[in-house]
Amino acid sequence: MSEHARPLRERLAEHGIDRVLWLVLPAAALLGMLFVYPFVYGLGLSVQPNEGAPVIGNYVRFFSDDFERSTIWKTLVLAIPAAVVNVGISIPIAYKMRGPVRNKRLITTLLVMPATLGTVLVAEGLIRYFGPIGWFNQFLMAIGLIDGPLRLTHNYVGVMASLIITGFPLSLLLVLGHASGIDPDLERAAATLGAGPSERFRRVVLPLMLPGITIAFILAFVAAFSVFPSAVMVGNPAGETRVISIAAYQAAFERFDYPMASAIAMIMAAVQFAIVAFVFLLRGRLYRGSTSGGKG
Amino acid sequence: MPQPQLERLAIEDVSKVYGDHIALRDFSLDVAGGEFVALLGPSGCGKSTMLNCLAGLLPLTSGRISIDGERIDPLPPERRRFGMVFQNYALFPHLSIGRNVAFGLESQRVPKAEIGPRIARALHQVRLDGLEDRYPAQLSGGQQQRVAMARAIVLEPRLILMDEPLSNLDAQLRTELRTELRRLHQDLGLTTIYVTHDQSEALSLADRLVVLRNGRQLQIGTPATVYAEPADAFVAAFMGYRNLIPARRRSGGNGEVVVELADGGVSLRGVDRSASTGEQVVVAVRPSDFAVVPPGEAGDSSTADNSITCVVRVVEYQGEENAVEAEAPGGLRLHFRTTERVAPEERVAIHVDASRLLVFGADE
Repeated sequence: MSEHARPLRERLAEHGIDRVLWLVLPAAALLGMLFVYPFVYGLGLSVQPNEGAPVIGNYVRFFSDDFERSTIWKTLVLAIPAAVVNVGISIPIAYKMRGPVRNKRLITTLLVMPATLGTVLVAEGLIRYFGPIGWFNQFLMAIGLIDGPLRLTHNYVGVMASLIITGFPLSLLLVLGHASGIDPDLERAAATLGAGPSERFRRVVLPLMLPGITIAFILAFVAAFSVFPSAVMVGNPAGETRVISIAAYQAAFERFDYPMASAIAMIMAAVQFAIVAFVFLLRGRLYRGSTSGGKG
Repeated sequence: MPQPQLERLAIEDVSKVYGDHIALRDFSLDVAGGEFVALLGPSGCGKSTMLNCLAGLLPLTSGRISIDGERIDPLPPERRRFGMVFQNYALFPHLSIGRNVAFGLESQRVPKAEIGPRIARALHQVRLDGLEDRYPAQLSGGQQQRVAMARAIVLEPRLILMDEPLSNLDAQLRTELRTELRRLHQDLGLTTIYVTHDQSEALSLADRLVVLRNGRQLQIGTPATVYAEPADAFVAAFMGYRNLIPARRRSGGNGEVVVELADGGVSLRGVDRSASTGEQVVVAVRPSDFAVVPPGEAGDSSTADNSITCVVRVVEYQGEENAVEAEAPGGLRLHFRTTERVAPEERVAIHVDASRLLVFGADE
């Protein structure tokens, strides 16, 4: 039978085009409405500044104003350390918990609990617990370690604490999920080949955990970079924790300058994209294949 | 033949207990340098537990393991200088074949200049020359297991431990790699402990077999001994005595015994292999030791010497011969092999030589 005699449907199916493809439609529509359209609209809005300024006027204004421009740095010094800390704590815990552990479900539930609380609740708790007359300061004073209360809220420390409490569970779940997939025989094989515990971790387990660590870092960073409620509630939103989302909020809802707010949102996206691209570039140079030593 | 790396491996009364489950009970074995010993048994018999104890991957509950008088059981695995080959290959997926083989050499701080030639030699020994730069995922299962062997032998270990290394391979590769293993052992003279549940693997590879069940050693001996003179009905079943028939002891003496099959009717003569003289016994016969009595020769087949009359139920054609399942009086299922053409529902008499019929105590 010649190629042209076969029905079109059959030939399309060979290339993966068949009726099952319709199932992609709802997701594609949602993505278009909730992501592509707002992004394009925002981009368009950001290059239509008020009062006849040039096309890139909003961007020029943002970068020439020290108070606005500094929000990028203020956000980065929160988001990057928060992501590093969250992923950093997750690695040893995931390493310990990757095999069969008694009460694993209970431990995981307890560790993941903070994620279900929500940023606002955590921030309120932090204000009370870490505040000047909170239990933490009272305890330190009672045991004579400090004379007056430490300032732990309404500054950088408060926001960082909030980012760690709410961000850690997600990091742990991602790193643990990846670590659990590593074949335990690989470490055993390394041991019989003469590698001690630290060498086994360094040469076998860590390289195989890296792809999971990368993804966890990226998600932790993106989540922390868009920090808003805790920066306002437990931070100092007029000073050291005036993060970039606050700048966008003030432009939109205090000055009603929507084009400027859109420009700030675009800058936010660009910074996140730059960091994510950089991390992926690093990851591309590392192994990211199977984590088992053969067929199971 | 090269000099083996150890004189004597002594395993003395090793036990491993998990809670109230005894995985291994008083295992004792002496292995001479250069010997190939197979631990054989069904899953859960304790053979892998013993191997992991040897490797240092599991702590012993009691007992001791020593090499040439030096105790090794308190040592962690990385200090035992053994090679181990795993059922699932356990190659490092993020490292190239060359780096996989180099792993142990690097751990043991072998000078860089030596590593390259030694990798090449090990890969040559397993016939994978020039694959240094590939990754495990790019190789077939058989090739991966060869790499795992190269990774173990490159260290010139004093003992090689193999945990069902051929179980994940398909039948043809398995036979091929089995020959390869035997050749490697002959060439290198490496003392080897090999765990398997496959009797043909154990018989063809090992100098000595240890048959295990429920954590106990049932029999230790050369393949020929274990094959011809299994210690009990369980070992017999493992060695291919597919017919295990409950029976009653009638009379006997001088190693010969006459038994009556459980349904009454048939009496057979055989070799007495039971430890006691209890009445309840198990009769063991290999399918290939039954021979169909030609109808013309015996006349009335029920009177033929040491034979059972049965009705053929299933015939499996297997090339050179047929594997037959037949039903004897009392619903007893018998298995035999024959080159005769037999058909289902046909009545045949099958004969077994008294020297090929083993009688074991039923409670052993």
